[in-house]
Amino acid sequence: MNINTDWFYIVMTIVAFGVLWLIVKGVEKFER
Amino acid sequence: MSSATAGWLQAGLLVAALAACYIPLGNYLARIFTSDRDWKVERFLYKLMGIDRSADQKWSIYVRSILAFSAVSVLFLYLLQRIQDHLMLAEGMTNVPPDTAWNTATSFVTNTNWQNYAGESTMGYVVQMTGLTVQQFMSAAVGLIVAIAMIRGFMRSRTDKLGNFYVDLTRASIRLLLPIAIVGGIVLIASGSIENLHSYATYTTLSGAHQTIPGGPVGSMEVIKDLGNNGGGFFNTNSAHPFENPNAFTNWFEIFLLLLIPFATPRAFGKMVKDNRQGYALVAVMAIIWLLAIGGISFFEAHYGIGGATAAHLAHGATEGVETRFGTSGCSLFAASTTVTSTGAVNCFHDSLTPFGGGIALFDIALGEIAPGGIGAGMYGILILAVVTVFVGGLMVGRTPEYLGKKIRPVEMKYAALYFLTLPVVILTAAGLSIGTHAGQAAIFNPGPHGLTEVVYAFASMANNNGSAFAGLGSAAIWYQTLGGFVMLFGRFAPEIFALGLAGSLARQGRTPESVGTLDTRTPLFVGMVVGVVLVLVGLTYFPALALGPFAEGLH
Repeated sequence: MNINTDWFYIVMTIVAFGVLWLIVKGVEKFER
Repeated sequence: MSSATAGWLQAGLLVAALAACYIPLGNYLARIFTSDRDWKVERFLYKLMGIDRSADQKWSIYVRSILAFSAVSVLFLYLLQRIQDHLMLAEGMTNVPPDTAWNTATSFVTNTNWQNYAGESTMGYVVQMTGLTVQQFMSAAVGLIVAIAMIRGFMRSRTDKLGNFYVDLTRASIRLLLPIAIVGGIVLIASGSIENLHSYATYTTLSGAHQTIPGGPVGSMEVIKDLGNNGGGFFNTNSAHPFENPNAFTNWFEIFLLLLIPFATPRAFGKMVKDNRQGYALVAVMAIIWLLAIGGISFFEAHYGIGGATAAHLAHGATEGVETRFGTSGCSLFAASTTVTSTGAVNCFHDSLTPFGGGIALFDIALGEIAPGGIGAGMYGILILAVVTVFVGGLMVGRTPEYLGKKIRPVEMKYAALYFLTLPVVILTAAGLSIGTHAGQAAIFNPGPHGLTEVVYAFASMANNNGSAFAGLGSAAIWYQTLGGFVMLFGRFAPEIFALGLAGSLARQGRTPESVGTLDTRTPLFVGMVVGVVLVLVGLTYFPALALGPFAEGLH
């Protein structure tokens, strides 16, 4: 499978920022 | 004049120039972010973008704004590289392949500027100017304003607001980075750095061979490359290229630029918390570590025998991989300054440093870029270290630790611990995966300790947003392109999340008046304690990797 495609890296961007978003959410929960 | 004398003279001039700028630039920085008055151009931009400049954000909204802005920036920069073929001034460059485009996009948005490509043969002028250079401004501004938001956490009481991300970003770009970049760019261009939009020219040499001479808007990119602690050069050889860094003066000036804002930020901190001595204490910590790094690398590059390099012994210095115009002292000064800040620009080949010299460069990066660190990143990094030091000091004397009138409670320490654990986890996990998998191993070109140093250096450089390469590693392989992109994103933004979380927690607190039991954080004792905490924390975390890499190679 060729992963060197635009779709793969667009999905990787969404995954990376999604995880960072979830970390913020987790920290907010921890604060409460 | 001997090379060593020239090196120390340059370092002395740097100290004098940075000391002269410390107060005026630091005061100006503080004024930028405390003034209520907007410039006309700022009001226009707020109107254009629909921003309510008076709407302060709580820490989680502030950090979400950073993430949203950065995600859009990554996708835009990726797209720009992928359609390069259709853009003006492409200079015959084809579209950048997806893996390189993604690695480059994450690299420039995170202020890392790790480059898996040769600029002069991969990127056209439009991508260099409107993609890479724009991100060199924006990513630097983002780092700085995270530090400003963190300082507001100490300044403010009983609020959950840390400022407005878009207002801070606009002010950092327009009032600070652009004016200095314009003046610095003119100085560099006047000193010989090229600036044009000429097509590449091919000439026939005396021996009949063909040589291509590149052109490009180099000076305008060079200045923000250094000023914004970015490090991504127009050319593959970075600041060793004569069009980027033409002479001894520009070499000194580039080092000055990359240290300028990080060393002035503690003054802004002191001004904003209304106690200038707090700024002096932190800048002293930064200066001590920076000078130790210069002394260490200079010593090992000049006293080559200790590093074990016999060829260097004959050449009176470890000159292999060193740009002859700058010599080993110019290389050592640049290498130390580029690795203690998060710049990553290079004027010599770090892979050619002696084992201990290279080990110090790696240690500098592992420090977490706090001496003086990347623009903004160094400030929030050292503030968190100061918090840890106050906590350790409090444990020693059995009192509740306080810093600048804020109690350092378990919740603040949890944020600090998360901040410090993030980078080692990211770096050592990525290095371990690369060493333990076929895909990772296939791109390691050197066996033994040197190969290990190359892998650890690469991920330490990426995660700490430094961007300098040790070389000897095939980082253009798809494994390193993809894993490296993740390492840069998490190495940049996860610590920023915890730093801003800590700032939010501090801002919500009231102010505790100083008492006889409060540790004075303006004294040489505190400076020594912070230096100690930095060295112990980093030393313990990375000692196994350092021992198996540069130490083993140097002592072999």
